[in-house]
Amino acid sequence: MMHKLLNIDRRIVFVAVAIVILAGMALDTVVPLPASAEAQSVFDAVEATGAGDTILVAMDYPPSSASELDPMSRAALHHAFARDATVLVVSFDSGGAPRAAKMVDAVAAELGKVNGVDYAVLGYKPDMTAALIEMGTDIAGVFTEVTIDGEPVPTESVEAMQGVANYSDIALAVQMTGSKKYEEWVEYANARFGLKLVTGATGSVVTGQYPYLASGQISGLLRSTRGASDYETMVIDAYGHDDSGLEPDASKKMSVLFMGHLLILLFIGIANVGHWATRGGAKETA
Amino acid sequence: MVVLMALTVFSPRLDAAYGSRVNRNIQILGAFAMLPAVVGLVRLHAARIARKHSTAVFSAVTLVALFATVGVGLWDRSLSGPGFGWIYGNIYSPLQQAVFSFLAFFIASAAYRAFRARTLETALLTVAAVIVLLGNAVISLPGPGGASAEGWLLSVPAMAMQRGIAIGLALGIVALSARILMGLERGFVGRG
Amino acid sequence: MSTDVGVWVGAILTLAMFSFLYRENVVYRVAEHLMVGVGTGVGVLLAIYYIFIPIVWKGLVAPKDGASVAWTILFTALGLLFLGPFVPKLGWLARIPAAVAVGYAAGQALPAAIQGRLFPQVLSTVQAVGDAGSAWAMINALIVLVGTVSVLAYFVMTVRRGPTLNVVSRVGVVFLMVGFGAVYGNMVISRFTILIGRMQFLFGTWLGILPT
Repeated sequence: MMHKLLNIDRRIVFVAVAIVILAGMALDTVVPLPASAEAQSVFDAVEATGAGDTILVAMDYPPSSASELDPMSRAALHHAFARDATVLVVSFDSGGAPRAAKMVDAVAAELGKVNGVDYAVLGYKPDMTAALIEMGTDIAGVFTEVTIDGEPVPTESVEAMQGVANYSDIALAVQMTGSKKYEEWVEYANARFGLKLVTGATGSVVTGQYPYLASGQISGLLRSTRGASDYETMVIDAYGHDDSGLEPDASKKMSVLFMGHLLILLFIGIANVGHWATRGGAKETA
Repeated sequence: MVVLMALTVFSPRLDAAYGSRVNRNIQILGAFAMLPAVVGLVRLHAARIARKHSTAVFSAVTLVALFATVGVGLWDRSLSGPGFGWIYGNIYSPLQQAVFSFLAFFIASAAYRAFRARTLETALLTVAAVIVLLGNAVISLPGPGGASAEGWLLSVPAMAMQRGIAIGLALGIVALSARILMGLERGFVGRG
Repeated sequence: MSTDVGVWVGAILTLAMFSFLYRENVVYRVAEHLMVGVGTGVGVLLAIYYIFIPIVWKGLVAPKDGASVAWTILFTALGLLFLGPFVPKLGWLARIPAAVAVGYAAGQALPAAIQGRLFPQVLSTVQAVGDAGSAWAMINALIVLVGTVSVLAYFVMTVRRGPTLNVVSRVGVVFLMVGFGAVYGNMVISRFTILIGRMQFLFGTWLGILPT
């Protein structure tokens, strides 16, 4: 019996995952978890900005990471606009750049913010290293045009860019990524030019960011959906749902993740109990 | 080129004279570097169609999708047009997300088959994974020094492991860059 | 149930991809090849609208100054050399822009690795021990110091391994296992979130059965 259980067809495992996810979506259990210190640091960093400050939001991720990173990007945009900061948006991911522009336009439209005045979508460049270095000297020299109402406009003529020449005119950068792109932000934008940086990352890469958090090169960190949920909650608690306009997307996913994680823990438990119960006798199949 | 770019870090005058120009224009190389890949892809699939290869139908799908996407994007005259937006939002994004969502199923299968505490090392692996799994979405256990268990684990022992790897990688980058500087590393130009 | 054609297309393509979980099949392969074609098309369009038009075309027809035209022409000419392999006997030309790009990257990476990674990380490891304000902070700082050094020792392959290095490497293995366990734990939340996103789309946005 135990042997059969340990060597179950993987398609049954797949079906179990799907059923648990659907059950989680249907039940919508609220899971109270304390906010992480790293997420609090991100909130505090954005909260410390205000009218007259410029925040650079970098959405360096493809559509495959959107489920995890869109909620934190949206929360950061809502928070920055709630602080009346001017927002500049870049994306150094070729698959994600159109998505970034669409999201910013949608959030800005909800909050009555004007493209070119309250925010500007600087765009995409393929060579991230070169762009990050040159932005330390002249941002408009890298992103020569922005698109406003479908028309290209010289960046330096845009009101949102007035008084913003380079990193020294930017109060904070909020970077979201699902790959190692945060390393270039740390090594070039932060280490060389002193840009204050907070990051959000997918679970697959976030563990690698903790050394930079410990050394102070990153000032705050959002850890996957958990971090996004913490940050969303802080923004909604501070500004209310109506004023911030923010929907708790990540927090809704947390209730489903609760069920999914219980399933994984159950699998690990069964695997270990079964292994020790049948020590030396179990033949495993792929 | 290596020497020039390294020197621009230390010399503002050199940086102003050459560094900025190179930083802005190197983007052009990045865009042109894509061309051989695109041309190669088109040639590969066109050849399969011409030879009536068994996968010719799939090659036709690839080429039609490529040319249709570029055609619609050029017709819209910008990336914020309705045609490109439809293709990006209803074809590209769902496909990308679906491919990566497979991994949830395989990671569950891995939990079932691979996380067995046979030795001390695998037991440590399993315990660390369980602590982080619990802390991420189930319950935050208390950890050393007043921190949460998963918070302590991620910011102390796991961080030490990542820091060791990061320092090792930095040393590797320095060594490789120095070899390129000295002309010892020429694999990227097709020589040994 | 949604009546938006785009939602139906997205749902059908998602299910086509998911069919791979049962076994590889024609429907999955069509979806896979569609993704490759559209993805390549997106990349080409980005290059056109973010590089070729604003930097190359406008850099040539409406330059800021004479020097900028020269630089644009130089780098455009270098870029065109990437097409050398498609002309018989001119394949070697592609090595030139490749060398420029690699030289540029190495020249930038060398000081960045030292200034942005090596020094701050080593400094932080040592300073944490010196600046520890409490017993727990000191214990944590010592754990980090031991872990960092032992993991580095594990990856030393260029010297003969004596008994001391072997012992330190074994400690490194402990930290590596804990680290990989943490990575797996975070991978789970990452991958499940992506799956939840797709399930919310299928059962919420498309079928309208469950809340999104």
